Amino acid sequence: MAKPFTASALRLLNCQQCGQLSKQISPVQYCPRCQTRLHFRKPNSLQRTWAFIIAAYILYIPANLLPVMNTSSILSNEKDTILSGVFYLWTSGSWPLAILVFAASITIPGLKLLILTLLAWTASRKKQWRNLERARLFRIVELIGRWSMLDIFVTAMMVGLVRFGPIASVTAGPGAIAFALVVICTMLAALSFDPRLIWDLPSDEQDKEND
Amino acid sequence: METKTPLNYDTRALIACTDCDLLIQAPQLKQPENTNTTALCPRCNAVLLKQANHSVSRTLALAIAAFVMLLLANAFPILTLQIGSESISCSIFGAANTLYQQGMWYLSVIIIITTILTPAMQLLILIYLLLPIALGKRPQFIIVPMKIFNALHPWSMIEVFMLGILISLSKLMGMARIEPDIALWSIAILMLLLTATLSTFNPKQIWRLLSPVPQ
Repeated sequence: MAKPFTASALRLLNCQQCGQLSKQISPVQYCPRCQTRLHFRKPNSLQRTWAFIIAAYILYIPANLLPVMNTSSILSNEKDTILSGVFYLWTSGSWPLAILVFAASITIPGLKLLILTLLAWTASRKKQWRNLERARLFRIVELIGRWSMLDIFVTAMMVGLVRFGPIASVTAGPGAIAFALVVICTMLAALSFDPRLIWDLPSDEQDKEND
Repeated sequence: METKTPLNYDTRALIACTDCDLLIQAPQLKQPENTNTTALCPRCNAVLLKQANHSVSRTLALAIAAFVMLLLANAFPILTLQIGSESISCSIFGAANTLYQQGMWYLSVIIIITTILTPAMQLLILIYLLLPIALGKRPQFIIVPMKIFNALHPWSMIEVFMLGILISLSKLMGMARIEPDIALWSIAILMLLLTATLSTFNPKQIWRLLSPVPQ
């Protein structure tokens, strides 16, 4: 197959904000229409993506081990992690909700991290491997990432409602912060990743010298 | 190398795919303003261009309606929980405030940003840009509001919040009497209106208002 023409191969800069194409005329250039600094690719895309991925992996451990929610009443005092919260939903009979929370809080962040790792790794090797599938994976990651915030919102509502002092009260645990940070880090990783790197050929190296 | 190609073509007739950088001739979508059309990248299927039916007036109407719902969603409690003779109502601010009092101010900041500030800013920017256009004028500032709007998009999480409310509702149903309040319905409607607003909005139309670039 003939090599497809890309904008960067023809030294054309595509504005990230407004989509205006401009010819490269100097090493530092701004969009003539919206004054955005122009780059062939997002600057330091892979370094930034890796940094957020690694931070998210590290935070993933306390996010799952530390309690997200403390429930205290006259009779008992319970500390719930994300997984035990799902387990509680399951045993109390609302298994559709258990599946939903499990998907949003455990499957999605985990899968998202693995997919981002795969994308960043294959992009750094410039492997021309299942490009269309990888492009689709990236779009899925962008789309579903926000849904992991679900548990944070559930915790917030429980904390806001169950405030009956010694009779029954719910407080947020440190796991909630770690969990929120995991979600934010994976979202930032997806935002820093430049999907055009999926399609770049090994011979395109020199195109990005001045980002 | 292609890089030595003489640059004597008109870049206005070309567009590059944002997701894979493929250079193609800008597709001409037929019947402007009357149909909902999208053009996809032939290589990676990313959306290159979209055209929504009467984008400006519809987006404006939806954005104003959504903003009213956002005000209601913040003015009233979402759920009311009753244990014995005591009852507690909780609004978005109430939830954020309780978290703040427990020393979890980072969580309350995240909640305020994702459920109040971001949607409010999105809607206000849309109203600011589209109201003058609907009246036949040109908004005074375009670049900065559009850049803020683009940056806000991933952080607006009303629909996730809605699901979170429903889950906490069903978690508490077994324990005590719990009743949905006005803001629950406002948030549900806001969620639908916001999604509709964002899908009819066509940012390319706004960028086109800026002076054409000679090149």
